[in-house]
Amino acid sequence: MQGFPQLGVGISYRPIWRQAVLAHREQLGCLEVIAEHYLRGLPEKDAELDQLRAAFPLLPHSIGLSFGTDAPLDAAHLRNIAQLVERIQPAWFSEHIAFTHVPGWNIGHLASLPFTHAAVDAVCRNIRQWRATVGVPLCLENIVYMVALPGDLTEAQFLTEIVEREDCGLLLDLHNVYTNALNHGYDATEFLTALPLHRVVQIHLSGGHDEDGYRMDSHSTPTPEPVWELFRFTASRAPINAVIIEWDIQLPAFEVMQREVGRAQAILREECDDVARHADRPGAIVY
Amino acid sequence: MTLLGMQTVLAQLYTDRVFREAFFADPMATCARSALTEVERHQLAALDRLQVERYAWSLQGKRLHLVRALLPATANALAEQFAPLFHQYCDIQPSALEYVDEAIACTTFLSVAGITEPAYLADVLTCERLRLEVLYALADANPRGLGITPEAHPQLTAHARVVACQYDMATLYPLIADGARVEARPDPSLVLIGKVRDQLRVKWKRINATTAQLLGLCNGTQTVQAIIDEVAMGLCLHAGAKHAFAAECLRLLQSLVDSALMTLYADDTSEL
Repeated sequence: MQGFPQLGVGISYRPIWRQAVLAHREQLGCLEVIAEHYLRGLPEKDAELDQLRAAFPLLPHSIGLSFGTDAPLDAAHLRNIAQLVERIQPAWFSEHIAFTHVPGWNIGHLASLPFTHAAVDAVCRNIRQWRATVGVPLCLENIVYMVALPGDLTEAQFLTEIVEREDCGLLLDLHNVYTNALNHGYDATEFLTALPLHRVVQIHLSGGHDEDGYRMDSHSTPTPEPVWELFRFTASRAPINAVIIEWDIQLPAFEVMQREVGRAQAILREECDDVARHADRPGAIVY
Repeated sequence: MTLLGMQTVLAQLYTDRVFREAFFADPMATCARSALTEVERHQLAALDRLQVERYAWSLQGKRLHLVRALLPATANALAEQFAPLFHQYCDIQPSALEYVDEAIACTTFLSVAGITEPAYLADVLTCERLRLEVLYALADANPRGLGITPEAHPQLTAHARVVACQYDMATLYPLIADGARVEARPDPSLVLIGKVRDQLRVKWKRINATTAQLLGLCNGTQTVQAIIDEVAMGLCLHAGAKHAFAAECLRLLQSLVDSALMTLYADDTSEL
């Protein structure tokens, strides 16, 4: 997307890889950090953040603001996020189009929203509250939905309405697209075509597993081939600014992450000319 | 009704097994007391139960994953019992807590759950809880190079705890946390749990009763000299031995200050 820097390919950081990440900094374009891991004020985590910040552009990724709750964002949490953003000066900040809690009750993870105009309005109100406090561009991520809620929009229309109305970037999680397409029986590439791909700023790549015939977005395996194909499809149509490889459970050796990063970089280089032709932007794209 | 009303019911549906069972047995009756409209109640009643149950299970799985990472010794000690017991905990605490609070709450639940095997479980739970409290306490670190004096008022920081155990947890805890299968005999012990300075890990040290008494008196209200005198009096030491004992106490207390496990106050009100 225009106006965002090119950061290349990186990984979602985990402390177990700290030494390896710093030793291979030339291979990684950026690091995504989970914002909530750095909000406790622990000096060790602050020191870790400072060390990473000195070596990489950092992309804070939040999981607890709950933009989709039809209520104001938690002011204290928002202030903590603002302080974190001030500390690491990211090019953008990302969250999810989801809700994680309601006043007095915490779901504990991302829950899908009904694809309705009321939900669009709720998310947009919270984006405006966020913008009044935090001064960096916002990117919003599509999530997996396991429960189909009644709504009057398609998912693509829902996502589009939000990012277009509030002029946000899109963090396109391709394993989430793949998972939803498998579980709810639609074509993933048709879904992607219906999105405002010119708003794609960042891509998430990850793997999951199958459980009793159902696809789970467990972030526990390498990126599967169909998701690589969706990535190639998207890279040929969208000016992607960053790609992040995610892995949350049963963390592998760093070499596995390096292979995922390398493959993503290779696909981007192959699609580079197509991206340059589609993007109305001067200058070469450097990954 | 607003979207929030729907979200409130959904939040409970996704996390509260008892509520979920009641809901799918009679959705309209379960939602009757909520402020949802008739249309909204019918929309919720039409939800696919399999989808909701699968999602609810995945949510608990995510909570379990986070807690397991924070309670490695508990998870290893309970082995295949851990997951079912965690799901029982979720029945009592359906609304998820912040992950460190969740892990501590889980140890509290397990400590009164009537589990008798392994026999050292109670000690494991206590040590796990204290380990988390020590690791995640926010406490100002002493400036480096702070020297202990007889007139200073020492106090253990929030990064240090002394605990009485029925087993030698200073030896056992690291083994259990690493996944070793342990057969332990009762061995009553006192353990100092201390966060390693500038690192997110703790060390375990078995201490004797005299050291425990010494540390117990380090509450910021007495001088180093008064504390040493009190402990020495209880040991009935002659003059020469008392001098050596005092020197050893000072070395111990200095090491704790250097490790940021002890703070020094100039008097009983102001910090050095």
